Amino acid sequence: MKQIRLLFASILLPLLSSLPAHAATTIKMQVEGLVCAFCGSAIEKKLRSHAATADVLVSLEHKVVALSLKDGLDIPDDTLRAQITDAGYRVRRMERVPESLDSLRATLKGTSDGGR
Amino acid sequence: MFQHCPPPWRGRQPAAHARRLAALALATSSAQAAAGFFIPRDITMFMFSASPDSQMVEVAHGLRPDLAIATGQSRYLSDDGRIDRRYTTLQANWLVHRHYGNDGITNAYLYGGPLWARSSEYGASGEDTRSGLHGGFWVDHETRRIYARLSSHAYRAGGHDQLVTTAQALWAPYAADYEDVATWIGVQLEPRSGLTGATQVTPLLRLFQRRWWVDAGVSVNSEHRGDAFVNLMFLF
Repeated sequence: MKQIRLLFASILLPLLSSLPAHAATTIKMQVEGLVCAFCGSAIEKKLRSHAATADVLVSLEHKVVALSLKDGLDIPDDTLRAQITDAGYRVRRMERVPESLDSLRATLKGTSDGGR
Repeated sequence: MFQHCPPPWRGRQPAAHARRLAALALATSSAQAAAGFFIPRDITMFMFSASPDSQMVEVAHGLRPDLAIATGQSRYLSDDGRIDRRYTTLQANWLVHRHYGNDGITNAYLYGGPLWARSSEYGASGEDTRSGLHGGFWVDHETRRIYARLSSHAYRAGGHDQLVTTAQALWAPYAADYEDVATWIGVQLEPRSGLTGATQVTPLLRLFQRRWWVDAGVSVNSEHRGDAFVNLMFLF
């Protein structure tokens, strides 16, 4: 029995320690139709209304909407899709990325500046 | 940028000019504004626009992704100042189609509903109220650098018809991102059949950022030369 425990520990511990501390706390969405900040502001308002939302990022240049989640909270994908649709847009792709929103913001801004 | 525009009272009777100034000062709304403008679900939009010969205020609320309701008041004056029409309107705005392109979107709206009109044409007091209908269409195409719109708004009440058609073409000198103040320049053409024979030609400056929007311009056609136009919108 002790050997079995040791075996599990030797397999699981390295796996767990390899995960980021806040894995998948940023949800990144590729959104169709995002051309105008005035119209797009409805997306931000809707996403911020969630108790689970920590921060929201909108990039017209990259047609990206992303949000970071508060620790231990989540928003189902279907809810997010419905809210983007309600705001008049379409979600083309959605993914949970192990990257902070600030890091994503910096990456997108760097790409934009480089492209101008 | 408007330093070459002549003073607004050029070629006008003082009384007519005073009326136009009063209308602008009292300005309670915008005919050229956003009757068909997209309003997302659960979002409320306040719109206000004014020029010497038309004013409008409107509040709209998104009920569904493709349906909004709005109520507003508008006022139109004929070029000679003899006809003064005031409308109180209720309407539904229906987003009939939205096309998602690679670089932009194209929208088609229909809108309409009942109206209640008061007009100087109804008698000396102008206190009579007549009920009627209004409605129209709105088509626009928008990228981050180009905006084009054609819309038409018909009013029928008390034996008179009025049709306000608006065409806008605007260009953005830079592609603003979400946090930036977007700047657009362009021109608006607006004939108002049933009220005036002239087509109002107004170069426009448009600025917006997230929840606020401002259009401002000064008309250049001979009948309305120097008339200032402002349109404000706010989302909440």
